[in-house]
Amino acid sequence: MSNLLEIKDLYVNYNTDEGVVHALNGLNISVEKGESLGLVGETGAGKTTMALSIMKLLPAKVGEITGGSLVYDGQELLSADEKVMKKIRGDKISMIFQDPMSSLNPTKTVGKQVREVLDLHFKNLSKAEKQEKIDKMFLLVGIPPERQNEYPFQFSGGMKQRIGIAMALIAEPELLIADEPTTALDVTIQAQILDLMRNLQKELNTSLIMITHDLGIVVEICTKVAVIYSGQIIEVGSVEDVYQKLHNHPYTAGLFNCIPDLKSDAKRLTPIKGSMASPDNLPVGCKFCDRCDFKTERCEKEEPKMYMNGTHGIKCFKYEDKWGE
Amino acid sequence: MLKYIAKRLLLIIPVVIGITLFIYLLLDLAPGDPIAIILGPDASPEQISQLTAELGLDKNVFVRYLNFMSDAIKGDLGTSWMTSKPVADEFLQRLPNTLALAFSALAMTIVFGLTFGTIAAVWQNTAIDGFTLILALLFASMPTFWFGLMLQIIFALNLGWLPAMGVGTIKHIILPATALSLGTIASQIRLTRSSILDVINMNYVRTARAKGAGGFRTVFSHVIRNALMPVVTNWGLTFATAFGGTIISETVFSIPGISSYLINAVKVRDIPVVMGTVIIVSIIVAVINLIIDIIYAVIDPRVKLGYMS
Repeated sequence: MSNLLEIKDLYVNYNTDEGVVHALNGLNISVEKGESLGLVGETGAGKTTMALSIMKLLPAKVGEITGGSLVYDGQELLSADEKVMKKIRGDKISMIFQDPMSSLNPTKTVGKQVREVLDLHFKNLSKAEKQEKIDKMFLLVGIPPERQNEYPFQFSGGMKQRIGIAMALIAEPELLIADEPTTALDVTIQAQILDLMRNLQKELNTSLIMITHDLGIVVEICTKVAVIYSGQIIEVGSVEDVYQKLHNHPYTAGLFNCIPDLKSDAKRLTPIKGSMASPDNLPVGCKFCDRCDFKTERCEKEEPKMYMNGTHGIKCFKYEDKWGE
Repeated sequence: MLKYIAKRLLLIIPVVIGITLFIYLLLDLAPGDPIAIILGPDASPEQISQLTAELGLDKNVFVRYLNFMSDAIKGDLGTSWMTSKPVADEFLQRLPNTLALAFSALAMTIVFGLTFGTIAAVWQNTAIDGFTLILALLFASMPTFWFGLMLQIIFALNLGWLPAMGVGTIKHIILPATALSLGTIASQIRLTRSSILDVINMNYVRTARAKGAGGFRTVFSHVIRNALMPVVTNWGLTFATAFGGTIISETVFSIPGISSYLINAVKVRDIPVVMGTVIIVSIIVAVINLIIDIIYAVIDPRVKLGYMS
C-alpha cells in the first residue's frame, strides 16, 4: 500500500520570549491509506505540534517549521502556499480538536458551523443537497438534526465533541487527525465517541491519526502505534508488535508499567522517574537517557537510530546489534 | 424581548428621579443667589422679597423639587428666570444641533475605531499596527479645543473647504464632530484591537482555519462578531462622553446647542433651564444605552436567550 502521508525528519521550533523551544526534533512517521495510527506520548511530547504542522496551522510567527519534509498524497506541503493549504484543510485533511468547549464559535449556530465546510469545499452543491448532507451527518453522530439551529452553549460537552466530529467528517476527508478527542469527556461518553469514530472510519475508509496519551484507546481503535518523546518517534509498530511487550523501548516499557495490571502481584505502580527533558535545552544524545535504567555513556553522546525488525522499529542502542537499521 | 425592553424603559424613571434630585439639591447648596443675579446690586429689599415669593424660592427645597417635577410630568418645563421664555421651546430649538453633533461623533468613533482597530489587530506588530497605535496615542493626547482650533485654521481658514462655525448644513458638522470624536476614536481603536487579538487566538478560530477558511473569511465571519461584544458595551459610554464633550465643540465652533444653553444657565442659577435640560439629556442617554444593550443581544445569542427566558 502507498503512503498517504509521509513525514520525514521534521523539525519545529517555537520562538518564544523566553527562548527557542524545540518541539519536534527530526520526527519520522508515515500513514497509509485507510490505516489508523495511534500517536502516544505524554504532555509536551509534541503530539499537537505534529498535528498542527500537518495542517500548517502552527501559531503564526511563533511556531516555525525549520526542516524536513511533509509529503501528502505525493505533494510536498511544506513548500505549498496558503491557497493550496486552504483547499486541503477541511476537505482532504480534517481535524478534531482536543477541547470541544472552546473549539466551536459561540455566536454561530452549530448547523451553520458544519455547513461552512460544505460552503468552502462543495460549492457546486445546491442548498437542499447541502442540507440533506448536514441532516445525515447529524444523525450519524447522534444529534437530532432539528437541533442544528441551536448555539454551542446549548449543548453538553459530549454533544459539542460530536458536532466537532460532524464538522471534521462531513467532507469525507482522506485523513482525519483526532487530537485527544475524548480527553475532555467522561468515560461513558468517551466510549460512545470512540465507537462512533471507529464505525465512521470503517464506513468512509478514512485514514486516521489518533493522538492520545491513553494506551487503552490505541488498542481499541488503531492498527499501528507510534510513541512520541521529545518531538521524536522512539518506537513504531503494529499494535501486536508493541503490545506483546516482547521488545519495547525503555520509555514504552515504562508507560506500560504505569497501567495497573490485575494479574500482577505488584502493590504499587512503577512510574517513570524524572520528567521529560526541557524542550529548550535538549540532551545531545538519546532524549530519554536521563530517565533510562539502561543508560550507557554512549547514550549521552550519540543519538540512536531507529532499528527495525519487520514492521517494528525502536530507537534505542539496545536493539542496534539485534535488529537492522 | 419586549418584556425586557418594557422593564428597561421603566427603569429609566428612577434613574431620572435620582439624577434630577441630585442636581436640584446641588444647585440649592451651591453658592450664588439667583435673585441677586437677576435684580442686580441695586435692588431694594421689597423687590427681592417679591421676586423670591414669585419664583417660589421661599419654600423648602424638597417642596420646590416636588412642584417642579409634577409640572415636568405634565409636560411643563417652566420658563427661564432670565429670559422669561419657555424652557421647552428654546431647548427643542437647540436640541437638534447637539444631537447631530453627538451622533456624528458616535458614528465616526464606531466607523474609524472599528476599522483601524481591526486593521491594527490583523497586522499585529507590523508597521501598520505601530502607525495606528501612535496615531491613537496622538489623538488621545490632543485637547479637543486645541484640535478644534487647528481644524478651523487648516480646513476653514487656509483651505477654505469647510465652514469654520455655525450650523445649517452637513458641512458644518464635519469639523466639530471630528474634534469631538478624536479622543473616543483613540480609545475605540485600542479597545477594538485588543478585543480582536483576544478572539483571534481562540480555539474556534483555529477550528475555522482547519475547515479551510481563509484569513479574510475567518476575520469577518468568526472573529469580528465575537470581538464586538466588549466594544459595543463601550458605545454607551462613548455616547455619554461625546454628549458631555459637546460643550467644548459648541463653544469653539459657535454652535447654538443645549450644552452651551445649560452651562450659561448654571452660571446664573437659572434653575428651570438647568433642570429641564438635565431631565431630557438623562432620558436621551438612558435610551441610547438601552438601544446599545439591545444591539448586544442581537450580537450574542447567549444574551438574547437570557432575555427571552
